[in-house]
Amino acid sequence: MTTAVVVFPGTNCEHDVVSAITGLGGNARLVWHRETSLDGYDSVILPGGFAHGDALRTGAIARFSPIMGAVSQFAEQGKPVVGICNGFQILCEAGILPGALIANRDLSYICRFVEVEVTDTATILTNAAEPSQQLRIPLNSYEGNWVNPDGEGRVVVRYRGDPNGSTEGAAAVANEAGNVVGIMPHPERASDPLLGSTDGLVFLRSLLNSLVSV
Amino acid sequence: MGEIGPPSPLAELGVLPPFGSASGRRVRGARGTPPVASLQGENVKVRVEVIRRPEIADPEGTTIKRALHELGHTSVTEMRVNRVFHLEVDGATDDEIRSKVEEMCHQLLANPVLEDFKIELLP
Repeated sequence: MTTAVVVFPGTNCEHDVVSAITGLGGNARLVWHRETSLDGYDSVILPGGFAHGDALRTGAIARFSPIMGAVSQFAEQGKPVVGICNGFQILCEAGILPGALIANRDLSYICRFVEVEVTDTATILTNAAEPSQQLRIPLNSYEGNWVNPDGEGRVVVRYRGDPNGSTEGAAAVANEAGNVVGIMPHPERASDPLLGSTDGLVFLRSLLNSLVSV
Repeated sequence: MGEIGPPSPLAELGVLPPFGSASGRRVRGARGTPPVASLQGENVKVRVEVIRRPEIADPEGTTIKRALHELGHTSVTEMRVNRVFHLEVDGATDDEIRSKVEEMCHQLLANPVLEDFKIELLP
């Protein structure tokens, strides 16, 4: 059971994600975005960062990377697909998740711990959480304001308070099947007591659970 | 239309449509410029405006409007920030160029969830 952690030019959270997963006893390996296959992997994470320097729109160029064909296929086959921060933006640009992420309401780069509440535990990223469980994890984004004009998608984690204007307070959004989840705050940055919180492990443990049960 | 110069060899090769076609063909040399040697056709300047739809929030526009109000420009009732792209595109006819740029907008330049676009071929 190995998780692919995709690296785009400008991705910068890949090692943190691998470290957090291996810390939980899982396996994770880096996969360069120029690869075209995810054979041998059971789940895929698009980690945070600034793919292609956020040129044009966040995720707009990364969505055309060769690996994205295999990521779409994973999503269609019901395999676990996670986008964290910039990865969430890439999944929206690719149309794998609904909506889009625009600049935060107050035009501030938000870089602090936020409180979130899990509102839907029937997804690959939230199954280890208690219903309504409250967690404290870091939010680090400028384009974290999820808009959803077509009204699709499931909001599975919400901010307590309203840090960035996100529709329905969405901190994480899933597709209808619950096998694709984009999350704006960083679970891997709350994965060790040294980092100030281990609350993010709930999400990563959920992902590992879903691999066992698939 | 002014002096158009000698017929382009490209027309004989069938690369260009015949003179007077309804496709709005650009005639090279019409503005006194020497014929372009490229087999691809002529570079045309294209202006693309990508417009965030009115129902989608525009935090940048809102912030700028607020700043204008603080400067006393309270007459500003609405402010939206859109992006303009300036391209030069190779193509034989205006229609061809326009359809190429439309495809670029659908694929990459505009996000269909948020934005519409307007394409203008410049003289």
